[in-house]
Amino acid sequence: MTGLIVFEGFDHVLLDVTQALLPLVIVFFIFQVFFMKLPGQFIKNLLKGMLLVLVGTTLFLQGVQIGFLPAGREIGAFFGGSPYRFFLIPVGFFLGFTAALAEPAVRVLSIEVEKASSGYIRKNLLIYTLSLGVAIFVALDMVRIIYGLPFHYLVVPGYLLALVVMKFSDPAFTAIAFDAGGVSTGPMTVTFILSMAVGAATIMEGRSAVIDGFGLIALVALAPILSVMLLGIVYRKKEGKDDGDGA
Amino acid sequence: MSELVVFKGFGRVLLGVFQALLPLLISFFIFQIFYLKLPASYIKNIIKGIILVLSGAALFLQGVQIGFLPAGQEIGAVLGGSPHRWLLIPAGFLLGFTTIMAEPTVRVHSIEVEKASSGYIKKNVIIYTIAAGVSIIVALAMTKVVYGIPLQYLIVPGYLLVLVLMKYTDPAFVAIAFDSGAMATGPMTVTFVTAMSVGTATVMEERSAVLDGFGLVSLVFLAPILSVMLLGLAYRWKEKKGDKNGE
Repeated sequence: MTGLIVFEGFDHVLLDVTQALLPLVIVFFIFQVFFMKLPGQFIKNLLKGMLLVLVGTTLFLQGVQIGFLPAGREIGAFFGGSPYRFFLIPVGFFLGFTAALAEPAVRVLSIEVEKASSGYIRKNLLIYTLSLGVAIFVALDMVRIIYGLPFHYLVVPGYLLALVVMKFSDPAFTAIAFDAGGVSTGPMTVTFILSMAVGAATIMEGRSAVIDGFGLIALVALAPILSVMLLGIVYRKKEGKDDGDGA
Repeated sequence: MSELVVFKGFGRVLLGVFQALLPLLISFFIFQIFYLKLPASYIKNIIKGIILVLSGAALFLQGVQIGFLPAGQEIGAVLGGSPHRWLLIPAGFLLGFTTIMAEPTVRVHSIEVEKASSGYIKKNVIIYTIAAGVSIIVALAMTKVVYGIPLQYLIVPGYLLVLVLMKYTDPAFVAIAFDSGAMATGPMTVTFVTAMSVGTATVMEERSAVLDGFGLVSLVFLAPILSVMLLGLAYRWKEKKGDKNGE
């Protein structure tokens, strides 16, 4: 019986995803036939890879929906309703950090950055910088929810700050930083942290779940942009110093 | 033999995913024991969710490493190395569109929007609005890679435009728009689109893989925010017109 609940809507999801994947496969094969002409072994691996991606993403989403969404909501509602609301701040920090660590897209981006920079920017360094940024901003957002501040107060200055910091950071890090903002808002962070914020906001009077939810996503996207650009400034300083020593 | 290739290093991937999830699990169980004390049926679903997330993420990452990363890089490299580089622009458009159609997070999100708006905003309208925004932006981003335009020229006006449009859009649509941005930068899109642009930038001698290859995800995050807010403006305009006709 509970088995049924877990897979409720699962066949439907799988069918949907298969239909969705089809155009991508067709486009790829057109490229293959007319332009690329890759060897057969490559194509075989690719097909298997696509199948794994399809199954994996479906399982992952299903798992987040049945497991993490309710857990996040309960945690938010519990602390939001308790007399010690300020607990939401450290809890937000901690869960923001751990959720970003568990985000698959964060991992993929970090792998690609490490490869493209020939190991200059380490995978784990990027993952931890990004997660730390997310943690700080989720904590800030909890402060905002507890005191009922409008989201403009954080979002607008935050994005303007990002555009300013861009001028001082290493250009290589700027592109990566903005990408990091995109990947950190993946299914794990959005579902889990968002349901926690919504759980907390719902239980406190005078908070709108829709508006608070939006504010959180905008902040989670902003956080790694700032933290990774700061990492870029640190790298640049370090390099400047090394050069100075060499000279 | 080829089976072995597909699952080569799978143990390591699984271990990595487990390590990434571990802090989240430990913190959840600490909350459960000391504060939340949720009923057992709840915990059972959460554990099932965790198992699904764990296996889903591991399969996904494995599929990405054997399938999507090499395919995206290959497409980018073949097109970037060909004398007809401008082909990257329509190719980017097509791949941006099909990848969004294949992104499961986008589908889940658009179903939720349809439900939350009681059918007022149709699921397919949201999906196609996101896909249109992303395909235009990926085509633009490919133009950036081909002609070496700095990322700032796209990012700064883009984010400023977001801040301006925010003032004029219905808050509910702003929320949907940011959610859409978060969903569009799901695991599938990040992997494929980044691999393609890094692949292109790597083959083109005058481009740097790090400087020119990254930055795409940030644009993919920006695209649906803009296109969905414009959709919000269109809905508002239609409503106003409807009101006038009614009088």
